[in-house]
Amino acid sequence: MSEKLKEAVSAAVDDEADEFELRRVLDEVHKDAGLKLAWERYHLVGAVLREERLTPDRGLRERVWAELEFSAETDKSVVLPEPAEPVADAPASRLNRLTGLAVAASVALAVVLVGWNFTSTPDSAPAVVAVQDSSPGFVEAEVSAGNATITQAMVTDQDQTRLTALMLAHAQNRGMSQPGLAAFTKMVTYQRR
Amino acid sequence: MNLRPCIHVLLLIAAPFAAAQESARQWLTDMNAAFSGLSYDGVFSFYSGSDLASLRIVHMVVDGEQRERLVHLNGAPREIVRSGEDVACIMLPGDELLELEANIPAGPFARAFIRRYDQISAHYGFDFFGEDRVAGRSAVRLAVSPLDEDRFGYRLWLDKETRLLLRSELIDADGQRLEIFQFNTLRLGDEVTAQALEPASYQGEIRSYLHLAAKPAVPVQTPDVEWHTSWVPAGFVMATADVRRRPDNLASINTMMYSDGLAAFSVFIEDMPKAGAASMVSRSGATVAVTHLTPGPENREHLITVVGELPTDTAQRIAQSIEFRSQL
Repeated sequence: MSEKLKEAVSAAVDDEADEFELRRVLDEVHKDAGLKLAWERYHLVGAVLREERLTPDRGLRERVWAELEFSAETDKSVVLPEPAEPVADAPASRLNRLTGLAVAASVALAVVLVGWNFTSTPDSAPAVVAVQDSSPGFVEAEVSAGNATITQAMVTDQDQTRLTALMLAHAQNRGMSQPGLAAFTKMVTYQRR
Repeated sequence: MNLRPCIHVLLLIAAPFAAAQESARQWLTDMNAAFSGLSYDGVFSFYSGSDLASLRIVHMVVDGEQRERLVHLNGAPREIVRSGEDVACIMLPGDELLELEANIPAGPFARAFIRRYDQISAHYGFDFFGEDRVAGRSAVRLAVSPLDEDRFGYRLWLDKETRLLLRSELIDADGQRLEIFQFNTLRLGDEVTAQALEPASYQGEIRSYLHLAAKPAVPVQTPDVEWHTSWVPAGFVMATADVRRRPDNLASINTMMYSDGLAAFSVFIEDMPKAGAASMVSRSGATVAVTHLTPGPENREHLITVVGELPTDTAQRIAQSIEFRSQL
């Protein structure tokens, strides 16, 4: 395995790789067992450096593949090889199926909470992934804290639309239950971010 | 040791304090009465997190019925008009709010039970902090501070003469302003004409309606199903409960709203959508939305969403406390 490739894997793990580079690294990781190990080891080292107690997530790489395939449907300029193994989709792991590396098109200002549904203890702060406003592609994700198993969640446009709609439904609830239309202000001023 | 001087000092401090609390509650009650009883026509600014909006509001009581009109002055032309218990939203084709409407649970709104201001002093402290001028009018400033970490605080500017709210700030525990509402111009009483209540006519306008149901608020309950909130912050009581439907797929959504008299949050319970993230937090200004997955009838996963003007931790705790209890 070349030093250059190792560096690229390291950058990908640290979220420093651009999308093109990331796709290339994933391609290489798929072909090379040594790189697979490096991928998981770098994740572990990164977590230790960030002082997180992390359970290495062996499904992560496969899920990244799945997500990239998903986004490639709308991005025909990038040709992706077939993933070597299918993405695990056991009925019992519905939550896990919903999680994946934060790859989402134009997710607006959503802060995704992860971990607290999984193994977090009541006292532990949930791991938070802040998903920034972004154009399609990889979303910068920053894991901030937590004793929980680190799992990064994916928020889709539909999720954000659903949340925004319920925020407006709450504004309607308020508006219908108090004097003055001022509570409807949030509805009238709605703007897609 | 003679405690009498100490008691005298305490009384000297406590008496004005109690008077301020009492007086503040009266000002808040008067503020509510001014909102629903006065005639006013004004332009106000609303800042929520990142956006600054301008709106016009017109309010009058006509033949014993409240009539109101709210007009969005920037961006997409939108108006909301209210006659008594009917609210109509007027938009133009292509408005992004129309696209979103298909996702907003629809249905009759149960009449809310909102606590009166004389019941909220267990959870908020009140302090008058001087006078100011807003929209060319003299205002009295009132700080409403939460006594615990489960709600936000408010700074209110109340019109000295009519007690109408002229400016408000919603602030978090760090004193950060999450929302600002402020009148820029305001006409009162006889200066307001009924003509100002009529919505502008727009070519091809689309109207959607909300109606306040006559039925009283009841807990969400069917013979064998009940959703239960095992923890809400002290002082919050259920204000409404009803079942709505999503306009696009007619899926039913149990909806409840809780209020402590000032703050409010809504709880939405629905079948877990086929695709989507289970745990999310999204904040826009003072409003936070959090989701949580929990087993419901027949052990099917249900998605709980709590939306309200609340600190994030509090909203999460509420969402996680919601349980399904079979009555069988």
